[in-house]
Amino acid sequence: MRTASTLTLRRWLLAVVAVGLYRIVLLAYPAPFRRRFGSEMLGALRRRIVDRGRPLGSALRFALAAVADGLRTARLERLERHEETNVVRDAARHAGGTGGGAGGGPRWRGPLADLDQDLRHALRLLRQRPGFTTATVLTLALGIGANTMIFTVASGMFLRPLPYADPGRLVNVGEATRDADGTMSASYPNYLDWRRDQQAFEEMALYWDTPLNLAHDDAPVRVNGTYTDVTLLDVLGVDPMLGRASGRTRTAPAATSSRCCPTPSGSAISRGIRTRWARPSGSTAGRTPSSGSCRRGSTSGSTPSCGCPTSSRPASSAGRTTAST
Amino acid sequence: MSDASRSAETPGPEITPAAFHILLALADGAMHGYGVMQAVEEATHGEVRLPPGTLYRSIKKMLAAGLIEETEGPADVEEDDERRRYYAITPAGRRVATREARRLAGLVGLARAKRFLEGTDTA
Repeated sequence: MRTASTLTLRRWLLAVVAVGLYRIVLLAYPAPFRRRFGSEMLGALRRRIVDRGRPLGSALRFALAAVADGLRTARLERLERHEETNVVRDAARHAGGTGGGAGGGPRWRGPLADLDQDLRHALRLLRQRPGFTTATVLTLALGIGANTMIFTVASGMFLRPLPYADPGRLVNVGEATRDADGTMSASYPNYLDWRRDQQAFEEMALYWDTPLNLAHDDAPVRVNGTYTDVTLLDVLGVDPMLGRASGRTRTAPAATSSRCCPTPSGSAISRGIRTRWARPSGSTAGRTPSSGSCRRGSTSGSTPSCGCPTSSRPASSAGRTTAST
Repeated sequence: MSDASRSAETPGPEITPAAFHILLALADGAMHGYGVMQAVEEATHGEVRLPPGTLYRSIKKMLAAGLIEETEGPADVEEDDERRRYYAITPAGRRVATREARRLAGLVGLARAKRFLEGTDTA
């Protein structure tokens, strides 16, 4: 449920953004109109948005309509002003003045004729007030930097799709109890039962995260690892960049020598680790890393940089299940 | 019907719907721009909204045409409102608004006679 303070903050943020945007729109109006009515227009817009008697959605729609209306009326104002200017210049020319220019006829200057004049005026003002200019530039730099950072985070979290074939069809499955909130890891036998009996998913795979020691020629390094069965690559819809994923079938998981605890029978490393670990030849396929206490890999591949879906749960004999519908 | 014919033939400045709404809002007394914006929206139950661009462009034209004038705010104006400009309808504005209202009333009468308003009349 939204609190009053949250709504007030949103309304205030909307007012700040809308008024800031409308200040830019005001630049499109002829300077005399802007000087005469600009502050009144901004005040009216701000008051309309912060008016608590109206819903926030109504305020948002009004702000958008005001910006669109501002652009439209600014264009009309400029056109009218130039028509008036041409009429005055034409009258001056007929009266023997010089308003018509060397060509003798009224000259159409276009809707952007005053733009250069406005820009020169703005630059003169900025030169005359270095303190104001510095504060403005710093404010803009901070604003742009903060917005860039926020957008980068939002893009990574919400906009950029997961690097899987069809992320919208991936489902994370877990077990739930009446006594605890959320889901918890499923046991391996339960996973095998689900996998055998379920008809809702196209494919299922088991995984659980654990830190691993990765050792080769140099000293061992600690890496984030994931135990899984080989069908996880099918579920995610990714292929190894190098090597092969043997045993990718829809039958039982690759490591099912024990019904209680699967035995690792292969390994794959991420592109990042491969880049650091590769020999000058660049080849890692066929080489066997040691992970944990095992050194019995039969398959070594390199997955895309996405890695696997991670879980914050500690390693245990239980695992989480990812399914693809 | 005859009123409508006379109104249509009467020479006078054409006013836009926005200008007519502003004149109607100012008929109750002097207001600042935001007050006009609120009054129009409330009078039309939200169907007509005057964004700042349309509102102040109309105000500029109506000032030039002498339909409204700048005036001092009411005596009990809040401190926050002191810097705002207040606008009041002029006698010429009232005449134009009256003529426009008659013209519209004539048109509505014509539409009613042609049975365009069947099912919407409450009278």
